Amino acid sequence: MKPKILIVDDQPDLRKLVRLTLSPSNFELYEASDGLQALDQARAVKPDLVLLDVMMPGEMNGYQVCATIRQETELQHAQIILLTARGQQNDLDAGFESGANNYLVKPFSPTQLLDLVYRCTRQLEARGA
Amino acid sequence: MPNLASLEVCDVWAFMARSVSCSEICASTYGLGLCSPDHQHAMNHVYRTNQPTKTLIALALLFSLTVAVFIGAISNLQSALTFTGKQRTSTTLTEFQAQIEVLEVVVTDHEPTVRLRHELEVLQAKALQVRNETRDETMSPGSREALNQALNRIGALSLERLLGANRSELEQISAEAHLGFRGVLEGISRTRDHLLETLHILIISLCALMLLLALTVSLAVWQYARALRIAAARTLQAEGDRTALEQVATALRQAESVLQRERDFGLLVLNTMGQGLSVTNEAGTFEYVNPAYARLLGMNPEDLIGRSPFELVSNEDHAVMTQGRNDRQAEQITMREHHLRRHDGTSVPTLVTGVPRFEDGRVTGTIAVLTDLTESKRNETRLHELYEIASAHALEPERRIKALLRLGMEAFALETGLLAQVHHDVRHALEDDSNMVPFGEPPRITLEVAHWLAQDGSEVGELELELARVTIRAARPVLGRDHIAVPIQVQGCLYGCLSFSRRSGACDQETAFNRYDEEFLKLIGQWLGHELERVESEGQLRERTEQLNAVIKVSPDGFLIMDADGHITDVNPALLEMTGLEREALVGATDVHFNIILQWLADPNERFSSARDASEQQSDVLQIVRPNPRILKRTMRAMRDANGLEVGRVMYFRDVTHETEVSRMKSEFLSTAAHELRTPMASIYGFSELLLQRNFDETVRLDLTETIHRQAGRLVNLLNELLDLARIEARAGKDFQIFEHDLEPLLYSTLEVFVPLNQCHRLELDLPPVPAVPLDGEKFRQALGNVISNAFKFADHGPVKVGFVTDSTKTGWVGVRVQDHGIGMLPHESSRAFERFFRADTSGKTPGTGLGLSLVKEIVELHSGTVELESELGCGTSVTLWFPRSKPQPFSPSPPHPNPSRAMNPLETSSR
Repeated sequence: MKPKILIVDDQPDLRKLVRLTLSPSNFELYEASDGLQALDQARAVKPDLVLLDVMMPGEMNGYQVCATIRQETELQHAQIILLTARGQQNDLDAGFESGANNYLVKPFSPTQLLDLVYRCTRQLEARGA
Repeated sequence: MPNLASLEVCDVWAFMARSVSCSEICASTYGLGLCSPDHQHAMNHVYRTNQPTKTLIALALLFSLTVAVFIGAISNLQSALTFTGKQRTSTTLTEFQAQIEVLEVVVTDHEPTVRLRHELEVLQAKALQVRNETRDETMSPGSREALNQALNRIGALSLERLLGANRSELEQISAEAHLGFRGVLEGISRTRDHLLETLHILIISLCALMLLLALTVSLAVWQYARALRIAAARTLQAEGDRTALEQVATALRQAESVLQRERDFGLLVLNTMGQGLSVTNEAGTFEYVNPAYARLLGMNPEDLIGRSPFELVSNEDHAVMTQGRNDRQAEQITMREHHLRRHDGTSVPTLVTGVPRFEDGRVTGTIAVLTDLTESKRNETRLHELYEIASAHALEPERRIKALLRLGMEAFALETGLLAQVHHDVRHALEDDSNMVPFGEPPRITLEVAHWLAQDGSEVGELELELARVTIRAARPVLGRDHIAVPIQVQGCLYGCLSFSRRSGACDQETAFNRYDEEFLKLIGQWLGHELERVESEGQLRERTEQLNAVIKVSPDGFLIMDADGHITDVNPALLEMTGLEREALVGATDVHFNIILQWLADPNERFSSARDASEQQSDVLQIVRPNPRILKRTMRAMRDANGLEVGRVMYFRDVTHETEVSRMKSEFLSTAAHELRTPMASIYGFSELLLQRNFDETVRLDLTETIHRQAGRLVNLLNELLDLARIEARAGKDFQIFEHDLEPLLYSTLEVFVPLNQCHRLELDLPPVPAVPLDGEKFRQALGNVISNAFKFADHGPVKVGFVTDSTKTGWVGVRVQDHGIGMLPHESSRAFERFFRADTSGKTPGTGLGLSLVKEIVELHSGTVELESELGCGTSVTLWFPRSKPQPFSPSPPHPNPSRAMNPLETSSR
């Protein structure tokens, strides 16, 4: 079974970048452009991994989405990687506090992103097995 | 002590002999310190030689007793000498008894009659002999009777009877004879015993006699020797005692002369002493008065003798005197003030100390000492006046000093009073050169007249000034016949001189100034120094207080001052402005009350520490919501006096709302700017890496390259706008080139640049004639261009109206309005439209940085204009830039506004 990955970012260009980076690999990719959409998608597809932008316009930012996902039993197993433009320590602390597993600071290298995604999915496989 | 000194030595001996005990004399002489211990010992010895007569008497008695015993024993010996006869009697008796036994044997053995007869005859002869010999023997009557009977029987015994007689008669005779013999023998034995006893006594008494004789002889020898020794000792003692007594006499004579000298001296003292002294007798009249007493009264001592002290005092003092006399009768020392009536009728205040006079243990009068209180009374009055002036705080210092000068003039009976002040420069020179006077001329003392008072109202003269100079140079009080002056010190430094003097030659002062005057002058000088010091420091204090008050009053920071009890004593206007409270509500309130007020002003969830808890210095931050939301930094500090005691607290409130907001916005801006810069960079970085690593087909590659290019362009725009904004804010309009501009040409040139070519048809112009406006043309175009491009960006259809507007409510202003029919904004969005990086449309469909309107606002406001924005979601937005028609100040920073929503300039602050 292919690991399901949900890409959440308000910038279409960035979603495109992530999609392009991950598409050659064996993943099922889903996209959302804001927090509420992300939650809807997550509930719908039950992703294994969420790549979540932090600063998003609208009612929910990345931290809030992350915290909400962590509260929902059906989504609890999902790994969450924050894609953040804010690299300061307090931002990272806030990320981990809300329940994120890992983070990547923008601008990031696609190779780096791929490595991190592989690592997460391997953990998932290990757990699944 | 009786007149011992006049006693001759022999009289002393007699005196001693009369005394009960010799040692008493010794003790008394020794107690007088007139007799040395050696002499005393000798005297004791003399006394002891009279003791041993009793021993001699006892010895004599013993001697005569022994002699009596001896004589008794001698007489006993006389009777003992008869014992020899008795010895014979005893022999006769034995023979007689033996004869009887022989006769018995003869009878028994029936011897021939011849023999018997012979024997009988012998026996009868023997019986006769016994009868003779025992006649005067002492024996018991029974024995004598038995003996006599036996003798009689023998006498009566005849041969026939003997022959015929039986033996029993013979035996009876024998028994009776035996009984008689025994009595005789007993008597003899008793006599012998008596003799032996007598002999014993004789021997013992003889021995005793011998012993006594020896004892008496030795005693006599010893007595004699001792008598010799005593005689020698007595001679010596007599010598010593006489020396001792001579010493006593000498000492006493010396003491007497000393006493006499002292008495003379005492009398001299009494006669010359300044204080009056009187001695009254039992009757209460003067027995002795010294000359001073008489002088006090203006009389002769002789005239006073015999008079009563009551005659000399004023009538109102009589009761006091009577009381005094009664007290002295009760053996008390009295001390009272009296007014003596002098001979000339004037009255003298005196202090009288009365001591009771004792004679034979009872009070026999009074010894009184009088002190003239005139001077001290006068001084007391002067001191009281000085005190009155010194404590008259209601009086101004100036007038008090004047009053003091007047007091000095009156007190010293002088005509002028001067308070001279040493010139400031000279003062230092004097202090510095005080040790260098020997070298060259002393510095000339320049004086300034601080206060001057003259009876005749004349001006100060050179004479008075010279006196002051002399006094200052002397640095001590100067007293003359008609002047008196003292240097004045203020705060330990030389200040000047206070002097009083007489101008006219006439001198009604009898005596020169005394020490009371000098002391009084010093006192005035000291007080004056303190007064000047106080005035000086008061002035300084007032100045300081004024400065401090001014600072506190104009300070933009709040001040609150509490006393030691925690009551608020003062608040400054800034604090009232900050808290919106009335001064009356705060002053007088306690710290607890103030804390409650703060609590009320603040967010109810917040808790403040009480001012009382504050240590030496403590700061905290208060967030208040009334009357405006503010952040106040409070610093509390305890004020302490010189002893370290807390005298109050100061609270200092600083409005840090602006600072806090700037700081918050700065970090917010940095964070946002970083985010805004990172987002396009993420695309550029990511896509370019993908292009390098992977082989995409041509279409995709083109697409990616196009994306990179677009994002790079966005980055450039962002940087440009940030830099524009930063530059404009940093320069704050200083580089604006402001000229009068017709707006129309400017508007057209702007439209040319910013209206997209394909959108020209949507442009609607409404250009009524408007006056020229002073502005920087380039900046105007930049601002307007932003608004116009926004209008076309956010409204993809419908007309865009651009025109000039005026408003009757805004006379003197010209507006440029751009109105679109685009997507519009919600009210909360339009209120944030001027925030940096704020974008109402977040879909990402419309490119932009969110900095455009911030820039517009900044530019217009630097022209002293305003930006007006009206928007309705779905209906469109209208933006009007208002410019004032009068020339704006090229640089006019607006005062800090407490409203936190005001746009800040974080770049500016960060760049500094």
